[in-house]
Amino acid sequence: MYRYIIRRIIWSIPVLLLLTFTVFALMRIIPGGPFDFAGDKALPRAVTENLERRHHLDWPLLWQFTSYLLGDDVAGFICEGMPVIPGCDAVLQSYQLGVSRGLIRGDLGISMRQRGRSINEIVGESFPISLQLGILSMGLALIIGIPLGTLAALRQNTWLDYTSSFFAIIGLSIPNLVLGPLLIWIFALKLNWFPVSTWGAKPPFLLGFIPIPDLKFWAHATLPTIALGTALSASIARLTRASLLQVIREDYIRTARAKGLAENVVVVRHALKNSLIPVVTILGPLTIAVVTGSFVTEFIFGIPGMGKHFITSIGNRDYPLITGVTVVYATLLVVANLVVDILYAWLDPRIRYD
Amino acid sequence: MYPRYRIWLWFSLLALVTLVAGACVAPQTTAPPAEAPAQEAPAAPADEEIVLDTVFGTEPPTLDPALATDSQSIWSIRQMFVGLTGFDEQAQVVPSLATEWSASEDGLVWTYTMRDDVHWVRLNPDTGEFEDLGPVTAHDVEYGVKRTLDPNTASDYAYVLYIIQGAEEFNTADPNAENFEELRDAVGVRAIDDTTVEFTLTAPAGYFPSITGLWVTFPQPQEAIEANPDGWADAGSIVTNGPYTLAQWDHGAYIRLVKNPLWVDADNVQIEAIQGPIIESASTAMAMYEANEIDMMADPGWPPPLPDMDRIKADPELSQQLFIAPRLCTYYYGFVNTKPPFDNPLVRKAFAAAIDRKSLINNLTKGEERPAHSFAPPGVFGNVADDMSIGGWMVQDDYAAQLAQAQEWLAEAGYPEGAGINVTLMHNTSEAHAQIAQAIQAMWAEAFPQATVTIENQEWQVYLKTLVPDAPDEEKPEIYRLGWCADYPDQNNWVNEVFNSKSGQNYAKYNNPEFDAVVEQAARESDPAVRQELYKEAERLLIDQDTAISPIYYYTYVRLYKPWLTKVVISPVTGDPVAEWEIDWEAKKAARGQ
Repeated sequence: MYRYIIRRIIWSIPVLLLLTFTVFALMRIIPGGPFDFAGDKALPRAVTENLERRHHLDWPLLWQFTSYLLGDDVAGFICEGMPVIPGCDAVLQSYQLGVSRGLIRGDLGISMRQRGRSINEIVGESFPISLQLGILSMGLALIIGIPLGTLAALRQNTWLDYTSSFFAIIGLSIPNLVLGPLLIWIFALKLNWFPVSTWGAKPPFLLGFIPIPDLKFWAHATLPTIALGTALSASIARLTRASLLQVIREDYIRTARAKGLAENVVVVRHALKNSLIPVVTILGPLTIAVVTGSFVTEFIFGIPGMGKHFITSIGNRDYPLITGVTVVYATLLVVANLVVDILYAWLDPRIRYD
Repeated sequence: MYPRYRIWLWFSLLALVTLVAGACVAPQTTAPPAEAPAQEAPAAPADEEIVLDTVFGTEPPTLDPALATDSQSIWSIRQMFVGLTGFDEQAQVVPSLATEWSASEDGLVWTYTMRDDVHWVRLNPDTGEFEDLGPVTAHDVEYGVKRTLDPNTASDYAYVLYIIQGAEEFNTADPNAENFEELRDAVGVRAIDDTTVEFTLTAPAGYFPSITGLWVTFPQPQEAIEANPDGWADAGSIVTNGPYTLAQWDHGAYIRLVKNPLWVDADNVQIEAIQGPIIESASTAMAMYEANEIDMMADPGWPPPLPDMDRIKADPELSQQLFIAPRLCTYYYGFVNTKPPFDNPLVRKAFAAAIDRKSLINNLTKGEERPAHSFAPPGVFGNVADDMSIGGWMVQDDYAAQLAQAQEWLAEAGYPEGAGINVTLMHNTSEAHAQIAQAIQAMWAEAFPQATVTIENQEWQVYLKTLVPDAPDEEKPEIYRLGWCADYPDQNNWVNEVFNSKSGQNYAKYNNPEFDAVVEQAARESDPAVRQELYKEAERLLIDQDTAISPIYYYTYVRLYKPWLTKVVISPVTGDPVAEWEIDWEAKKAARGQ
């Protein structure tokens, strides 16, 4: 198992590298650069050149990537040693102006649009908040989704099944863009129970992401958690139901019943555990998607999370920001998938990797 | 514990946490939290402080005057910093740090005399102490202008200072060049003494006092900047010289500005803090406004959302809070003058005339905008918005007559009923621009039944790349939409900086040497009456004779203010001077149930 984990971690390095390079290159291929315009006003070429030189955008792409990955000093060191390498003339001219210490040393770079701010700062401030919203929503989704799906499967084709299926379909079909404003309208504007928007916690957080769970925090967190968690709980309920229906028809369940085991033991210990395997499969990527991509919910509720950076950084052509948040997302995804694989082995002893 | 039971333990724990959460939330049902902002500032109790609650529409990319380019940043900067000149409610240049200024006879040397009682201040957000860092001097102005121009600062807006002698040479120099320091010294800005600063220009520019009201010319605190070059504009480090200063900036989340007690006119500043979260959704901001969580739907956040406008106008309370004021921006359709059939001025005139601007405003934009018939809007020095002899044919009361004239022009150009015309109208991706484009497409289809106008849209940065003058013509649309807003309220910023054939903003590729000569002469002229006449001629050439573009409407500010904002002074140029506003604090507290 350990060998498997280590092998997976080692394999993830080239995957992450390739992905980083792809995003890095793709962003630069899209027409329009971060410094071509101030608002809708085209900037004089000399001004643009000043800005581009500072961020090494005048270097060949591979050298830009080298600087991003390894740091300006390494790019400069290579070129000073071997100035004949193509592109080194540009590097030698301005590598000392730059500020990149390199991804390999944990530096995600400097934002091109938010002057004077590093991507590490931006991600460091927004990610814990997205994580809080994501964990709460996933928690809510699991608490509603698994029991609802289980009930629906065990009472198949009864009113309970139809009702839970109805709510699951409603939950799946109402997008956050509709549900969010609806919740605000009912619970904030009409009933005045909750604040309209914003997030009720700010750094420093315990362990980097756990907020003080006071009244203010919960008041602010309730509506966005419901908005985001409802659709997730619907997906989980549907999947749990389908999976459990399949499992309870398996031979070993019949055997368990034939042996005279109590029904709740059969369902909980034998059926439910196995039926959770497909649920767990989607849980990893789903959690990461929720944590990093809950843009709509964060947008509607004015939550300063990381989701918006995916969108705005593309429009702004803020190359380091979009590359940085993608690297963070990809790393989390790799870790989440690894955790899911480990959970598999625990859920189903037949699955072993070494 | 046997491992397989662990998952159930985790589920039980999760359920318990949620139950506790639910229990915590329950009391909320009886205690509306509307009055509490998400992040309270560390200062005195909020209810004892007169606070303007607002939202910020986006995270300001910077609060450094040398680097700001967007309206969010500039709005906040203008609350915290003052420059040599300012602008009043009529967009006229007024004294600010400078008490008076004069130009040499040849108009090349401008001398400003500054007041000596405005001080730099730094707030320690932890202790709440304001540190007096001494008076703002002419040396700070010189340093500020040179810092903005320094290529190492990499200011996007440095080019607006190119009228200053040596500015362009310094800004475009290689920082590694041997003569770099000489170039810095050669920039035509010089502190004669602590209260006198002198600018030497490359050409006499009658509009120069407007330039010294721009944020990029503001004095800058050298010591603070050199001590912390990248982070000096953050809370705790920032040194300011205006009525407010920065107390808190939780990036991406919350901003709070507080009154500067050392400000020369501090006794007359009633509002002690401006604060609010960063909310990127106009609809959410509107909900906060209706829940009395914020006091306005205006800069620095959002105007009321367009879909809410009908409801606002119909609502007896909200309609009373609606406020519409002129804004120095024009929405226009440009014609790429080098692309057939729009290389023919008659075709351009016909298309410009076949737009029912009043109907568009009444049915679509709904912000009481004013139909436009010239490029510069009212309020800009040298505008002809009230002179119907220029472009009046595109905003006639009788649209039927205007339409008949348009059809006649197109037939005269050789395209009766639009036969043989197959063109593209392009706009950047936005619901509002799409709706306007569709409406105008329908107007053109009705006016010229045989013409085909196809609408295309592109993402903003791609769109601008498509339009820049040096992009290939075959990739350009024949018609494009854009808007232009004043950096400073003078026609030089409009007709000259946009449609001079040498301008990088001249997306219409308009090229008329006579027009260039007129706008360049106006830029050098110092007699206001002569400049006025020259700009009238420029607009006549641009709109009447050549119709390089079709102005659609002059923008308005559409805003909502709570009734307890008792004195709201609007400045069309500077962002609104909150220091001059007042709040009926008791009324605000009462409305919030405090």
